[in-house]
Amino acid sequence: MRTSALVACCTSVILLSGCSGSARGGDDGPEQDDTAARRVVAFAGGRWFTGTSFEERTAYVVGGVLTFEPPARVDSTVDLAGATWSLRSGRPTTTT
Amino acid sequence: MVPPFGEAHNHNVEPSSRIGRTIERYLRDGVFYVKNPNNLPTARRVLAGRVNTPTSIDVAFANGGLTGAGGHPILIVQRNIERGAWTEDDGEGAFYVPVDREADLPRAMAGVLDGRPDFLKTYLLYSEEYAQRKDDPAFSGWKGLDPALLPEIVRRAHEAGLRVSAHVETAADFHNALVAGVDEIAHIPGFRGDSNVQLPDPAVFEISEDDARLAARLGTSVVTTVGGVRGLDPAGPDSLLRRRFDRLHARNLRLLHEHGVRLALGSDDYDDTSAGEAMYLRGLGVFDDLELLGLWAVATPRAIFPGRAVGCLEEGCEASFLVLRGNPLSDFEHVRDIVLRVKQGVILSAVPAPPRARSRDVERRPHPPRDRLHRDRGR
Repeated sequence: MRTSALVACCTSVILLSGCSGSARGGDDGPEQDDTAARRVVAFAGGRWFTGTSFEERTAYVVGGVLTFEPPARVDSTVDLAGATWSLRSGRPTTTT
Repeated sequence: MVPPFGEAHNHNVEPSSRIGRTIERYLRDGVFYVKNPNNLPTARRVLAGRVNTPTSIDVAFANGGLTGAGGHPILIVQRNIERGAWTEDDGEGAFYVPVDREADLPRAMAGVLDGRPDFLKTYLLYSEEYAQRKDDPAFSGWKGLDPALLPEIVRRAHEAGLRVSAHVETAADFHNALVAGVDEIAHIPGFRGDSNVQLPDPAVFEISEDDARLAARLGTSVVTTVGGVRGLDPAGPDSLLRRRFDRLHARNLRLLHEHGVRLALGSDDYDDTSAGEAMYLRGLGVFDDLELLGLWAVATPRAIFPGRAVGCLEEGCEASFLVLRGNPLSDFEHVRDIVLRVKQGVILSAVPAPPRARSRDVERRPHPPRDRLHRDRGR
């Protein structure tokens, strides 16, 4: 699997959204700092669970949140091809 | 890509020498969301920075639960004091809060709220025999709240903005918890059988159709916690008992599922994550693979953190997901073949491989001793 254009910021993790991003538990959800909010990362070549099936889409992470609308700017792209069943076989094999 | 999995009932996220390994195991299994429905109130402070961060698991803590005098989980406290792990201060007022009369409630609730729990845990054990067990030391640890108090406890908790989870043992407990208005029932009745881990009369644990219907109508969430019977080898000396448990669990789960009751997957297994529970449920044959995946990756995270955009991979959801090597709907075993973990936009790139099994390592025994099924579960 390739993780192109990613920068390893910390010992055990690669932060897509900035090394100083933080979150806390409870029902408040993730808290991301300004750096995190600005960074946009694409995840290409994967099949995403919809609740009933899998759909091939490109997802974008902005400030720790998912979006499927292509943003105006993408800072880096994670290429999932080769890591997953969907593109390795070249044809979808999901069931619904 | 699937949403990360949830574990809706486990007490193993607590301050201990093994907490690092526990967290690693959750991350390795792709279980990012955990509900601890009874812990020492100091747990959150001691574990600050180790959980509820983008690179670790997220945990909802109940702190100490409300129970009757001499009720569950008092035996766990006594055992930990005898072992020298805890002191008396960790018992009453900390790990559990006894409530026997309505007049006790204001003080008890004030103490609980002071600890800022994420939800409230309550205990019903054989509540149909509450009067008989209440003052009988023979039932120490095998009794709980007066079921007549539970509606007022729920009212006060809801007024304070807390959801309420109820421990149950029997079908009568299940009914009493439902009519009291709890938000979650933390076990399926009969999850561990009677006090001797036997099932002399499974009818005691069989949920009624009316209660299944009521649970669905009320939107009450029910946590499974039935996989502990994996400790009974289906080909071993307790195979008959194992089959009785399997039949009971399949019957109750099927009833709840057919009525559309909200289910959440939880193991209540201190030495595991919800991965073992998922595999046990699959073996029961109540759910197809799509339903089981939805239960584990969608319904359970939402049950643990109902106010968060978790358990989904849609616009606006938290950017947390697992990349599986294969399609879990073609082969469910692919849920164990995780090639990439992303949590809140962070790629977790260095989740350690599982350590090699050692002969003394209880954690990796395929069939834990039968005694453990009884002793360490059911908090």
